[in-house]
Amino acid sequence: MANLIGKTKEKRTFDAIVIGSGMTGGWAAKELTGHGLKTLVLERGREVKHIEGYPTANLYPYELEHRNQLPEKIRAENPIISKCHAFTEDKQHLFVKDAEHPYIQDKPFDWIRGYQTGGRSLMWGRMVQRWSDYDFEGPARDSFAVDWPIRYKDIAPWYSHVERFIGVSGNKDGLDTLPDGEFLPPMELTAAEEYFKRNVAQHYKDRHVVIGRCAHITGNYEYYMQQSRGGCQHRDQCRRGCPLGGYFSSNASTLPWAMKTGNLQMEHFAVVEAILFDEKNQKASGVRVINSQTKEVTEYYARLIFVNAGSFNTNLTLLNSRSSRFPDGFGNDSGNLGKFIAFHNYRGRINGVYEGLNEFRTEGRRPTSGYVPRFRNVTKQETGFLRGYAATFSARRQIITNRDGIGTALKNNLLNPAYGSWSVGSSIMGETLPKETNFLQLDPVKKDEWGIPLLKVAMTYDDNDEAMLKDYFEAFGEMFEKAGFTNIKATDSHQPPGIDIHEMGGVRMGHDPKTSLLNKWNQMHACKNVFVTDGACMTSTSTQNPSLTYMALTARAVDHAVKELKKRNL
Amino acid sequence: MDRRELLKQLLVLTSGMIGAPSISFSGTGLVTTGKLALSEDAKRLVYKLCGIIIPSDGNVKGADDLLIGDFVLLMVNDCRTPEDQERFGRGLQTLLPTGRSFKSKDPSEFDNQDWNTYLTAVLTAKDQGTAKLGIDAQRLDDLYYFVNTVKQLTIQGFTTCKYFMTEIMPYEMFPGGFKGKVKIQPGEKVNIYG
Repeated sequence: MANLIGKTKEKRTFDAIVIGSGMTGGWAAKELTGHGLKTLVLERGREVKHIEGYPTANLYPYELEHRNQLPEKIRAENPIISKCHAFTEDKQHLFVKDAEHPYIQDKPFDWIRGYQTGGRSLMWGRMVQRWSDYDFEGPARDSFAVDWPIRYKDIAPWYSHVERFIGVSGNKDGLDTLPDGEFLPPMELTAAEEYFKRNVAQHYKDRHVVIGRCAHITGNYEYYMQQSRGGCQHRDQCRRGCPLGGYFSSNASTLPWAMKTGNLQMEHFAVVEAILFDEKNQKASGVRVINSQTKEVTEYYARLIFVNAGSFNTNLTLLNSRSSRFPDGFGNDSGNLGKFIAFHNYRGRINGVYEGLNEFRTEGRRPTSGYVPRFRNVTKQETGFLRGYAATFSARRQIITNRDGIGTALKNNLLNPAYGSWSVGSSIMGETLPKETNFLQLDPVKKDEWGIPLLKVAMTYDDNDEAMLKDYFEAFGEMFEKAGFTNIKATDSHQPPGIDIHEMGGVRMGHDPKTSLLNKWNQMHACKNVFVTDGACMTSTSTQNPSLTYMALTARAVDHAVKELKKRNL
Repeated sequence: MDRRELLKQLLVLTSGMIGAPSISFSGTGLVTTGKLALSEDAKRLVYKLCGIIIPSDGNVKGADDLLIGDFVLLMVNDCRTPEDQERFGRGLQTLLPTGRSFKSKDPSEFDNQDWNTYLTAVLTAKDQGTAKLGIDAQRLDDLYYFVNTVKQLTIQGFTTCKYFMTEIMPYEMFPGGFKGKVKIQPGEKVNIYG
């Protein structure tokens, strides 16, 4: 029963409610509070305060009891999350354990989640590449999904807005496939990466190797002091939480910024059961929240609702928000809610060895890698598959330690390692096509401990993905060979979707309310005071790490929402 | 970075360090399996092997000085599957006093040189058959697993302990930057954490 006694309705009424405090929830909070709106952010997980909430941040490797390996008991109890490379002794407390919030895999899918202040913005990969019009025009040109209702020019100023605030280290490379942004000084490529970059440029006019643009502060320190954030010290322990705020997270950046306005209130352990629909006004009126610990139910009200629960949880919340107006889920007039989901294909990796440049080594640690933007089917269809892939590329000097024998000989070997060749490697990030056959549903029977139906996931690779993966191996195999790399090995992990942690769609943007859920402002076609700006809004996936685009869409959507509020249209 | 900016960075850095808790992560509730029940004799044997694998000397500390045996047992106890723990135990059992002899001695009578010879024989026995050690293939398999596990964990414990990561090959918590192309100087000492 709704708690109408503890706090008066007035105290539970805000200008705006943001569901989720992760990458986009934090941005919605920052922008909304910045416009003077009293904003409530609802986070389903526990509170993780910047700095003091990072218990392992300053531990030396030898201070981790199991040297960062997880005890077998934890791995055995968590077969899904244990597949994630970042689920290690120093970071395990930031990931949702398998039993905490079950879901149903109609087809294999590894759902990697972080339920806490900042959500997955604490443990993200921090790569932030802009989309170009080759990406936004993709669905229309290649006849899949629906046309994006925006183009690069619509989002470009918002990319800049976000980049300036979060801090992006990058190089202006002048590529039309990878538009330049507001960059702080780039990190360095290694000697062998620079060699590969030159070699690729010699052999292919349309292929480029650049340093990955990443959300780390590498300059303009005065400006970031306003956020109490310091420069990246290249600790490369980012996912533990950075006590310096060297990389962007909601915890270090947007949420404290929003808090300073005095307009932000945050509630933790707040699981949104449903968005409430006011039949009389034909608008969303608020949300019904279950406290994850006490199970107490509370309703909160606002003129504006931003749904930023994290792609699939956003779908879950909307699917579970049923009313006589929306019997099949909130805003679901098109019948497409939960459908046309997609992800990035991360299955392929190719490794090799470079014997040259033996006179050089690297020094320090680098929290990003080289990056090869998409070069397949960019200006026109050229291959037997649609779309293409981006890839990482990195080369580092191997250090060889002879571990043979025992006793004094072994000890001497351990104390005297030697430089080996350069180890080179690349991983694919392939665009997958959103399809109606890849979808989310609510289980009709099974529920979680809060009485909310379990999410059923049915998503898998298709022939286009397989053909693209084959092409990646061939193309990079050829590039590696031309660069004189040896011992080239291609590996298909055959991993199911999910570990990419780039799940997208289900509440897609589009021109037409008959086929999409959101308009060009991330605003629900069928309910104008509800906005969805996390990964759920994505019409297609492109080949870029998606968070930067989510953040830019969020800031843009808030700007529109505030203007509409002022015009009394909401 | 100029001096003024550096000072600012240090200010932020220091405030971050002060604000962050300095607790050991071992206190945050990691669960141990507690499945490896070893006798005191068995534990002594593991410590002994660690010391044979990475001996102490006057210049550089070894497994005995650094209590690497504790790390080896902790890792087997917490981070190995029950099946592997059983295998470890079976292999270990082979080396406890049995009356069986290797070069006319029971393992309990081995001196360090005997141990060195014996462990080397076990670690290379996979290629050389079982006759030399006088045990059947299944027992050799378990024995190899045990000795090799102790060896690999001793190496891991040694190269990731505080002593090694501060005095032998220092690990920088705050490298402050990354250089992608540094010319290697002749005779330069290689640091695996560099």
